[in-house]
Amino acid sequence: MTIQFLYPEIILFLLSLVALIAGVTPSLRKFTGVIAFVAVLSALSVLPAASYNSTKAFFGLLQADALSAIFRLLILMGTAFIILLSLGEDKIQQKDTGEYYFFILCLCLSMMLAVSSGNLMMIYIAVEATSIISYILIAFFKNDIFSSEAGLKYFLFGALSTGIMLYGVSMIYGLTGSLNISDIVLALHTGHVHWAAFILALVFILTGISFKCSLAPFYMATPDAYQGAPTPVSLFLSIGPKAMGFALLVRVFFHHPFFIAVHWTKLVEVLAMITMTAGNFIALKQTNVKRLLAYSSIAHAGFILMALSVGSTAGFKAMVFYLFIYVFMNVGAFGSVILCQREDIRQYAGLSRQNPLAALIMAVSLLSLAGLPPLSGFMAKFVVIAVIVHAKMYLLAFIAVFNSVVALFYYLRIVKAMYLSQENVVKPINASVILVMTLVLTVAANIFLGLWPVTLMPHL
Amino acid sequence: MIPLLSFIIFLPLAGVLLILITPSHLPKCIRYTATLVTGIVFLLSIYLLINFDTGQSAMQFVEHKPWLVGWNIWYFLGVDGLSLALIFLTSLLGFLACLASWKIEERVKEYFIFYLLLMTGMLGTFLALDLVLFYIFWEVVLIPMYFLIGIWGGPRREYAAVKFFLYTLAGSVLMLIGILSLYFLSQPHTFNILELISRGVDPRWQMILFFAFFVAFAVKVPAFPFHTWLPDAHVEAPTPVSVLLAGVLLKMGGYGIFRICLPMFKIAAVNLAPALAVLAVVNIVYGACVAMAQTDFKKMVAYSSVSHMGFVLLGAAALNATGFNGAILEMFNHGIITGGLFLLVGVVYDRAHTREFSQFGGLSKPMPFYAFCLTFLSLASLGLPGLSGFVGEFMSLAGAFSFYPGLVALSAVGLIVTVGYFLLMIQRVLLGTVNPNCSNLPDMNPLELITIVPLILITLAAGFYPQAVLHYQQTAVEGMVRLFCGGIS
Repeated sequence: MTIQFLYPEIILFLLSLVALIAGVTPSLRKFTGVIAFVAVLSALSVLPAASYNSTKAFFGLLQADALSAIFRLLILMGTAFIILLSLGEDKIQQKDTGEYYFFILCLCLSMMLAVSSGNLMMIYIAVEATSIISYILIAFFKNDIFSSEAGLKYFLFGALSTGIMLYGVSMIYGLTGSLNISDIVLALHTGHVHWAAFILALVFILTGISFKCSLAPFYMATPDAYQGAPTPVSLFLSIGPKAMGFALLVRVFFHHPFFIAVHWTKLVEVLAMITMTAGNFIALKQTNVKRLLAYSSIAHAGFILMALSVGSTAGFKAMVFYLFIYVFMNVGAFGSVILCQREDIRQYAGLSRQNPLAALIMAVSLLSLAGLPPLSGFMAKFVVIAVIVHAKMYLLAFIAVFNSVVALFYYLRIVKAMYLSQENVVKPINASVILVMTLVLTVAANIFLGLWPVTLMPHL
Repeated sequence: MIPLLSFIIFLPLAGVLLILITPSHLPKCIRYTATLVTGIVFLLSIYLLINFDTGQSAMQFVEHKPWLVGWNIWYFLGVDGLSLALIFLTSLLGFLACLASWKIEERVKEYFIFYLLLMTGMLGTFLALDLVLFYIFWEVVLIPMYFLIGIWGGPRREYAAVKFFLYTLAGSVLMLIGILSLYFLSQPHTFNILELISRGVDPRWQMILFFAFFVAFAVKVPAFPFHTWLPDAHVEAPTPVSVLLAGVLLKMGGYGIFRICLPMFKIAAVNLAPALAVLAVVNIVYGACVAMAQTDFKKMVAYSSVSHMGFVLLGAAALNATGFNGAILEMFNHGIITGGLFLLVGVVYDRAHTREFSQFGGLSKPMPFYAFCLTFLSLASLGLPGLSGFVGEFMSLAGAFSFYPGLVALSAVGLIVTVGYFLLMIQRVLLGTVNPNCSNLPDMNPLELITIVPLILITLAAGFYPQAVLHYQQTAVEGMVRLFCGGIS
């Protein structure tokens, strides 16, 4: 029974080894991407369905419940998109980089373990593994000075924040004598725990998770990392570790009724406000599209966090819904950057005349990110704001909608360059079939989910 | 039963798909497709007009299907006396402006795609009876409008397009919070506009919710001080888009006030009516005075819109049958007249490539037909009795007079100024010595005449026999007034 739970991870692990071997064998190197894609698909096919009764496995190190099931699906789905986009990214294909897909699969694997664990040590190890692989992937273009710099920056910030997180974990162990979250809750109910120290420890853990979700004030490394990293990796960072971070937030801070009682929601509410406002306002001035999308992803993190600040099941559902749609929107936006091979906004001038399809994909993704109906981004925003209004948090709702007006402004700058500008930047577009197909699929999903969001969430 | 309203809304969308698969080097084919589609929509709206039962105050041609069941969001369409005239107006102007769009030579395919998308959004807004559906159509209008102004507009088009987009979005996001608050206040939760009206809204919440909705509508109307996007958008937009902007988009604001703000928040409306009346008079007088000062033909017409929409607000503030009738009639008439005026500005701009009054003069000599049309529509717009503009304005003023005699007297000043700037415009453009720049401008061609003549005929007919328009809206207005009689006494 318990081993069944791990089938997806086992398949991923075995096939990632195959991908690694293929990667170092020159004659097989071109198949690594395909192997990785097959690995993700087969992992998806054996993924157990979401069930609402939670089961523990491996002495509570792993936990099978709705949270883990949903986020494993989300992470696998994101990985599948990343692999498809990487197949269309020339620079990755041309390099002697057999280990790229191996790392991608490992990253996926570690994140899946993180979201399905109920033990703080296990969580820490998985998060740390995620971080280390992220550093490698960001600095993947070893000869590119920006890529290396980004990797180093991300490493310095990441090492610090996971260090603080580990400190928090050890404090909690000292205070409660356990690392299993359910045992900790039990200890809190029965024993004499030093409150101030316990809260401090939780804040430390929050620090580590905030870095992964790029929440204020720990988003400093995010823009540099996204800008310098290979574009598919930037995309992966904006989806995978973020989803993982939010899953951990739920796991550690919101999953048990007890934690909600400690007024986390107030803190989370303020964090959400600061994060989205900072992300949106800094994004206004960006001229590099990848950097702009990095700030936009920070703003979206704030929006997602907002759903959590309600502290209810409805808030959790809204968050999951938002994350799923966010994957489609961001894949479309970053995917267009890969397709167009250009990063400066000015280089997008006249794209709608040169390549209408690429411009359309970009425009739909951006307008969806901006939350305009009838695209799916609107439905995501609608559900989150609905949850907040239901909880009577009007100030937060007001700041959120105000932010979405600000956000529209910078998304429109790219749309303006593509459609309205009179200039023409002639730069050939490398249109690999897989890439274009994937992007068309995401655009279709963006439109379809906006009109028919029920498909995604039957209980909506 | 045939879902007639869905056909009206989504035919343009089907046209978009047709145009998408038409190769872009066949501009003629694209033009004909778009014209055909808007033509069919127009015919369907006439069919609607004929089959509409004027004696019935309930919604007609209702379509009510579940959409997002968990949230109780319905695909709910219906038409009553309030929306009927606006549907007719939208489809008529949509068709005529489509004919006027034949002059567009650049990026024809994209132009008509956005144009038809805009049609879908506008028609949907007037027919939706579920708040979420209404909001979605309301916002859908923004995207194509942004592109239409931004790509095919004048020299400052990018600025104007972004300004338009941000202003209207900023206004409408508050409405989103308002919609959700309404939903959660109602028991059981519903987005159904009619149900929310009949249940009534908690009095403690009415004031704040009124504001949340009113800001969105006021930006669209546009009410002072949210009007500054309008002159920019109008001046930069291409002619057919200006026609739709003035003829239909501004009406979305007025429609929202009548459909949602007034009936749903009765108590707030009664309390705020004097403030609304003041705002209306500011619009009338301020708009007229600014229009007087313009030297750009199109900008003058744009500011005259601000002034005229003031009468809509004034009629709404009257909270009685005469005022409501006047306001709704004024929306229809203003759409017809100002739409026509923008077409005429476009005609002369296409020939002279300028809109400065100083560059014109004595146009009546080389362009007699044009002179007739312009004079006719200007007289209608300044409220000459016998033409349609007069009736709506008169009824708005008459309705408001018993409550705010002082304000009505003040708005008469606006009327005088209006007469002033229109006559001045006629003098500068049509009369006097012929400006050498325009001595050999060709008169209006048949296509242009086709787009103008129906508007002139409607202006004349509605002026002589306003009952033709009024009897469609009367039952709806009576229903609304009854709401207030119950509320006040």
